[in-house]
Amino acid sequence: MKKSQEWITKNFESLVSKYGGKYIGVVDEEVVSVALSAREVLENAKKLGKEEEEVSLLKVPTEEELICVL
Amino acid sequence: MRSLEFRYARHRLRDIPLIPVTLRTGGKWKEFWAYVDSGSFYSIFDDKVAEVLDIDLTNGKKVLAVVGDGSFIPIYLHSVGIRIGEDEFGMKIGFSPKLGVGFNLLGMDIFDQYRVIFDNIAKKVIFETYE
Repeated sequence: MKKSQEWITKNFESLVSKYGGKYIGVVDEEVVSVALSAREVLENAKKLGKEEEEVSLLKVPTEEELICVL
Repeated sequence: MRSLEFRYARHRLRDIPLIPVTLRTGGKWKEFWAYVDSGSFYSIFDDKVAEVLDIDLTNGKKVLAVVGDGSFIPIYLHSVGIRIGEDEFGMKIGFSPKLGVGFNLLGMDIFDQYRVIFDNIAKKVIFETYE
């Protein structure tokens, strides 16, 4: 399992409180890009020198959405 | 038989079966996270995922899906390559501009590829191959 995958699972709750309603891009154990669309996240990550394949894209739900889904 | 295990994410003491899946339509693989939703007939991702995969959304077959409040949303089915762990296969995924939930959804169609076990004691979702 990639570092980013384990890190996202472990830190999901804080990601929701910080980035709810947005897309984030995670590489290793770091949020490298935040935006309203996945495309924008990838473009920002590429500007930082990250490869597309290494960016893990997470649509972060809001607190309200989590209550509705669950 | 092989198995892939994914630990549940947690939010306010609730367990969330959220897993990474990698998708492509001919270009580079891109990794997205999806909620394993046994209550959804189709796998449905939002239109922003289609955009990243260079999919012309409305070129796909249009079907309607019922959501929680009883209303219908349009989804457009497209064939994509999907990778889970080391496994690669093709499947139809629905993309929708009206997906009003906070997650992309991996629905029942993935159950054709794997026996999916929600292990609430071990706090993980397990994907077992059928062979």
